[in-house]
Amino acid sequence: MEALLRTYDLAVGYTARNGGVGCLHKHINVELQAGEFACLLGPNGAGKSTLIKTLSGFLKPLDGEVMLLSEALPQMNEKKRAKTVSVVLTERVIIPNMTVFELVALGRTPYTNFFGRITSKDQEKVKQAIKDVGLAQFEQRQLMYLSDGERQKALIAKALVQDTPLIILDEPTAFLDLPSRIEIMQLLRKLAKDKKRGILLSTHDLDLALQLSDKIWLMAPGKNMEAGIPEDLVLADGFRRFFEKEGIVFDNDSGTFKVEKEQLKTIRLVGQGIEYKWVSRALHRTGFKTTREEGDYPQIEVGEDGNREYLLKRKDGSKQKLRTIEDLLARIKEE
Amino acid sequence: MGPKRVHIRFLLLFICLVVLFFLNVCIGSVSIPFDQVVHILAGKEGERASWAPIILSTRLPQTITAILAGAGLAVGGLQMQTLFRNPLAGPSILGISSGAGLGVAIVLLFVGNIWGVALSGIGVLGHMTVIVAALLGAMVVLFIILLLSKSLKDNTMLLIVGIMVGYAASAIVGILKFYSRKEDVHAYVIWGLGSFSNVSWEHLTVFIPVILFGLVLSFLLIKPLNVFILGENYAANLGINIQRARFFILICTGLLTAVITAFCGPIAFLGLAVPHITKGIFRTSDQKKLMPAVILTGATLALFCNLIARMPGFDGALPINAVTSIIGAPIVISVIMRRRKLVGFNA
Repeated sequence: MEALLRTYDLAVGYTARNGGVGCLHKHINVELQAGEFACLLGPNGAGKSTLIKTLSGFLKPLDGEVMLLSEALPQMNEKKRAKTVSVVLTERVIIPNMTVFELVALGRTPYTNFFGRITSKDQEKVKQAIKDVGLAQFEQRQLMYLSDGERQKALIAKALVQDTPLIILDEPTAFLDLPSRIEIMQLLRKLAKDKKRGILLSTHDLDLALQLSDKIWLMAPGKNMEAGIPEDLVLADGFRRFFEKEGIVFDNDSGTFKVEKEQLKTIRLVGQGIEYKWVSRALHRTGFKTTREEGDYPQIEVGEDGNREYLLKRKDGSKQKLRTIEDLLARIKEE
Repeated sequence: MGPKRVHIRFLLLFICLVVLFFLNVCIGSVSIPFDQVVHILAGKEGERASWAPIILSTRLPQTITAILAGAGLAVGGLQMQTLFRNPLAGPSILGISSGAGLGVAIVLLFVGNIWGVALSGIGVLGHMTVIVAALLGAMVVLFIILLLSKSLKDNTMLLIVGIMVGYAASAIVGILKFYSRKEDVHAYVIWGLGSFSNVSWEHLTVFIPVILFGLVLSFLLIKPLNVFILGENYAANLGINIQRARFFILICTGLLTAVITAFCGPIAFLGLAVPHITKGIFRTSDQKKLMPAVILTGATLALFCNLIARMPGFDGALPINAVTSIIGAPIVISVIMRRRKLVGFNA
């Protein structure tokens, strides 16, 4: 299948006025297919934004090629490019007096006549896109009265009506709360599948990207870019190599980051179920190591079957029943 | 806002414009009855022989000038506020009116000093020289701005450069003033107060076509301007050639401002105020509606200011600049106060 987007040995960065070149990343070889939802991940300063800008045509590649549907992007004229790739940028778009409909209708600009007249066919497309992103009831509402998440959806609708096979978003979830982040990511994934668009976005929401994206592109300063499906990257230790810093550990088991702490004491923890899991988490958080093996440590038995009760056996043999994990932690610290 | 309510607002504005047009022609130091005005405008003799010349050679050209200048400055203001996404921008933001001022200052102050003639005293010839000088000064600044706009990618940088050029021009004017004779400085100050009444029919043969050209050009720039509201990056992604579009927008505002300043002097505030007032009335950001709307509002407000300046009792003694600012400032403040939830302060 012909790739929607493909780069060959691409180098991205900025050309300074004096002709000097600030290369941020090179040897980028990635591709994106129609209907694919890809997330670009990497620490700050890796050049994510620069790559996004280069792939959207705002910056010229320093070296190598960007091919959109087998046509070199830098050589494409602005009309053709506007019909091939649409963008949602990081800057907030809050324009007084502008309604959702008016904003989304601007997405039709590459198709409208000299005066930008919206035909009835354009209107239908705009309304459909607003419905697709779930803003149907806000069609005539002003942008100022929308939440950040809703405004972001409106911008996604703008990108949709631009009718481009490729949609690129630069940190679309950056200033949203967690539920809105999840909503936006799910929406984008759904649009990629339903509308057969290729969608690429940069984000810092690693856990959401792991759960939702078809492909992950990993980027870090001084490392070659790696791309693949999330699971393969985890197993190949990709996240560890790209993100780990001192004190931060990527847990390949759970697919999340953990904060590394000095673990002082060991405690034997027995039990199972959800109570066991959270007691174990609380102990790790406060700097204890847990084990199931018997030994010369204090012991905690966790009640089962929703019977929230914690039995603490001290080393001297004394026992105490506790009702909350908070009390339990307090007692253990006294040891 | 539905299309019906938009149409009603357009109609009301147009009625205001027509009413103010006739008030401008009727009222003055000599009041002329309405039926006589219609009579004379239709090409017939007036009841009194003195009325026809007052209307035809004084008030009518002045009224036409006010309409065109108001419309042109309003268009320039809307274009600059949209292009730079800055509510404080106006047609004078590019330094073009300062350039015109410098041109006039050089003629009135510098040349006057060297040849020892006060141009202000020469009458018609002097007047034409002032217009040409203002036009030249404005065009030089516009040319510099256009040249810089080719190499400056960032609109904010361009805005700063425009303001700096304006400051530099004003500074040179200041130096010239310092070394000039009192009567020359006075002539310059008078020019700086602005006036719609110095434009004769001969001037109008130049003024009308150039302003109309600028207004037509502004309609051709509606599409790129509409997308510039989203910022340059979005505009570029929507297929607009931003360098070229910006170039033409600058030419349009620059030409309108240069010609209006040359003929009427620097008219303050109209260009800044009218887009705000218009957005308050029409509650839209769509240039397809805003462009004709600011033209109507600009013309109406200019006529209103001209009428106040000419009210019987003031006898044309009130400088138009003072009136536009005194009337414009409270209107803009009230528009902004009414827009209670002013989240983003752009465009």
